[in-house]
Amino acid sequence: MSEYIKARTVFKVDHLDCLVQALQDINPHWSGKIEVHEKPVALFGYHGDRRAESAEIVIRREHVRNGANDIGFKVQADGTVSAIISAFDQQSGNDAEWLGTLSQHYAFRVTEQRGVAMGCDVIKTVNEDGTWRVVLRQPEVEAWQQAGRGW
Amino acid sequence: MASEIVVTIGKGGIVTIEGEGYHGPVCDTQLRALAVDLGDIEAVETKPEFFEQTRSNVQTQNIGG
Repeated sequence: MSEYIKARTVFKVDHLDCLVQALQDINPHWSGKIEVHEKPVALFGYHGDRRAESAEIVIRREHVRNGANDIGFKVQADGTVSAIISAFDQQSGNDAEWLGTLSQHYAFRVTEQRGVAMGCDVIKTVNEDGTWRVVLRQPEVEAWQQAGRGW
Repeated sequence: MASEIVVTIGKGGIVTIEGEGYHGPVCDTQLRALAVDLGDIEAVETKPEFFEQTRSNVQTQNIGG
């Protein structure tokens, strides 16, 4: 090894597909119900009232829980993606811890996607402390070279 | 030992990335590209093996010259 890098996960517009996958990972019920728009669309409150916020990725309130507001993810000018979650929904479970769990799943999906693109085997194990160990394993050198890839 | 990139992902989304099974700076580009994909790089630590590879290259040049 030569470098050891520490990074903080940030949702990015380049990986909206991974964000959608991560949302489905933490709540399979949302599979096929997450809206993805090229341009931001309005979010609505639990009364059906149009809220001031808009977002490209939207989970409508009826899929969240009774009395919930829409949850959104908004693309920012710098290419990052911010969660839009009402104070009520933060108190009802979609809080910082929930976002942390979402970040973990998102980071795995991004890592997995890159590993597959590199032609690596992707192996995930869960550590006792709740962290995930994801190994991107280089295939045999000959197959690697035939695939035109390299480290 | 096979060459691997090992990513450890914490519950809050804190990630550590390192290469295993090779020496030198060969794979650092891949590590950094993955880190940028994942988010903001907070720290980079260079391992001693990086310099081992550099020294090895210099010695090879001296012998050949």
